[in-house]
Amino acid sequence: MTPSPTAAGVFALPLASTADIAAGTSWLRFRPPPDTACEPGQFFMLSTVAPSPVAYLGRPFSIGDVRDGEWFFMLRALGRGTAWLRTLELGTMMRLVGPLGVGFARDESKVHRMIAGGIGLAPFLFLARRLRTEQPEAAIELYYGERDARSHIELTADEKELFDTVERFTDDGSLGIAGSVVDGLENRWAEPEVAWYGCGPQPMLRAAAAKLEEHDVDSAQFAFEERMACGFGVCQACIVPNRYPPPRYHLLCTEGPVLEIGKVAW
Amino acid sequence: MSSARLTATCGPITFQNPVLAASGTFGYGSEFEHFFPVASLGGFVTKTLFVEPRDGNPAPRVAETSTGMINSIGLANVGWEAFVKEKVPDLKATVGAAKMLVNIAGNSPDEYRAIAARVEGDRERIGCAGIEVNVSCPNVKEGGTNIGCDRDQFQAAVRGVRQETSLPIFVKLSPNVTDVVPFAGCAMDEGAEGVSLINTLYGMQIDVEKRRPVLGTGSGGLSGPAILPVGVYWTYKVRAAFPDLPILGIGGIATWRDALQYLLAGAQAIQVGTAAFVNPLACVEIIAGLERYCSQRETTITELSGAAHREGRLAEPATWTG
Ligand SMILES: Cc1cc2nc3c(=O)[nH]c(=O)nc-3n(C[C@H](O)[C@H](O)[C@H](O)COP(=O)(O)OP(=O)(O)OC[C@H]3O[C@@H](n4cnc5c(N)ncnc54)[C@H](O)[C@@H]3O)c2cc1C
Ligand SMILES: Cc1cc2nc3c(=O)[nH]c(=O)nc-3n(C[C@H](O)[C@H](O)[C@H](O)COP(=O)(O)O)c2cc1C
Ligand code: FES
Repeated sequence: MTPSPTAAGVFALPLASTADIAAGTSWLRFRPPPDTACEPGQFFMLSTVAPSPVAYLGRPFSIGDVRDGEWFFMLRALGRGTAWLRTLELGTMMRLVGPLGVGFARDESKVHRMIAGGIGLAPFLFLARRLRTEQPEAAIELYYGERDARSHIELTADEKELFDTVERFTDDGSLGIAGSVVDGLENRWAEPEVAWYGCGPQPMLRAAAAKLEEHDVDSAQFAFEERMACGFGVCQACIVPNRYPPPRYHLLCTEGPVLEIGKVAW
Repeated sequence: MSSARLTATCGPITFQNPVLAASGTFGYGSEFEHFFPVASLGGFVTKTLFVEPRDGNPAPRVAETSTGMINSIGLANVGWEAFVKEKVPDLKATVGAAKMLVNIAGNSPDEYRAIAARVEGDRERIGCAGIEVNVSCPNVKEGGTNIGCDRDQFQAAVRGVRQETSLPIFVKLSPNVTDVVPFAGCAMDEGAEGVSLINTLYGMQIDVEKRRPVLGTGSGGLSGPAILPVGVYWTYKVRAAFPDLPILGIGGIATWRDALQYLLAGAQAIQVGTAAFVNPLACVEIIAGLERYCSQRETTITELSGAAHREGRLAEPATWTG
């Protein structure tokens, strides 16, 4: 099933709750108006309604989960803007622009395999939740790597149920298997009937794409990141080099953020 | 439909209200349609169009500043033919009472002439109210000097456009000169119907960890609330020098109060750029704010335009003393 992008809107919503889940990482929860649908892999631009002295522009965040009609964003403080967003008080009026972009296509497959690096975990809980209901027979697997145990996001019991397999990696071996997700997948790249999904730092995605191509896997959907000013296709900031120009670039916020790896000039 | 109080007359063009969406921040006109009806705007200005498509600059193309951003998009655009074939049909259904200005540029005065001729040739088909000439473009044949900052090239570009079209022309002035006023005068002398001001200011941000500029091209154009006073200043100066030259005020407008500053300084209408990235509803909120202000004070946009000059306290802005 290929998601059709929902028409985006501008929502002014109070920050309903936050929860710390790992070092520098929290869930932000919002109560949207009823019947505002979004698809896994889509994103929102988040800012505060009162202009911020710290971050003028909005910041893009994947829709992290949708439960009981509520929206959850998994936020990691990596710079000025994200650090500030983590300090906001409950009830702060936020502006959410979205849902934006094109998310993951969810074609039938025996196995759905997600590879996540760091905060690249963000879109996968929601993706797994959808796949669970749409394709109950399919196996859903998560391969999730972090720098260390402190950064590692511990899944709740409910979240773990979304996956048939969860394999955890840390660079320093302080939790799960020592080493990278890409190395950890060893000889599983060539397995048949696997739908591949990826999200994480660019070097991880590049390494994973190289492995997949080496094993003649011709389809995999990766969620990419680029600097964004608008998020809805007007500023032309968010370019990703196109493997088959013209045009020379993909516009990530409208053509992505999820792209087939074959479309990208790595 | 806006109330009659909001009607904004800019030379030959009458806008239903004084709020336009600025070039490069509104796509080709239909991208905002799911946020609000484009037909509710006074108008909008298209992304700068060249005759040929352009890919633009390498990433990163934007850097955030404390109250704005620096961009080096590089005037990426689909080119004239694709605009007419692929973008205009969508627009026709949605534009309503809003007026479209087509923004054009070239890499030499000859290219300005060429794109103006294309607009003139297709004017019925696209249904535009006028042309905005973006002169902030490097002349590739003249070692990359900014056409908008060089009097002779500026004059040649505006003259070329004027000779090719009878559509109303607004020349979009660059603030990256010592004095904007003579450029406004030159545009007027060359037969432009009005001026738009200001475009972005040169700017650079340096990544102190990597010890190099953030943007892929090194530097770019600063926009957003940071530049509001600069735009208001030049609007005031140009209005003082040429009281009859229509002005579209641009730069840092995010609220109706910001818009009002430009109107009082002498603009007949204003454009909103960067603010609409953060808040896609900025334009409609500004229209509502101006509407409220005008009805509470029983005044009109026409009456407000230039009112800061009539108060008489400052015939001329004071020069700096230190
Ligand atoms: C489609 C998409 C979905 C995302 N989803 C999530 C998510 O669910 N959870 C999460 O924690 N993060 C997510 N990110 C990354 C997040 O947007 C960045 O970490 C954030 O913008 C960094 O802002 P900053 O001010 O903290 O960083 P700084 O480095 O201080 O920011 C400076 C500038 O660079 C931009 N920038 C820096 N890093 C990134 C980046 N990785 N991606 C895009 N822009 C960047 C910022 O927007 C800002 O304009 C996503 C990014 C994209 C593009
Ligand atoms: C990302 C971006 C792209 C722009 N592209 C164009 C353009 O193509 N042509 C143009 O004349 N001005 C362009 N501008 C300048 C704006 O139209 C406007 O003059 C400037 O940003 C100041 O207004 P603001 O502070 O409201 O953004 C661009 C500005 C931004 C931020
Ligand atoms: S972020 Fe503005 S076009 Fe993609």
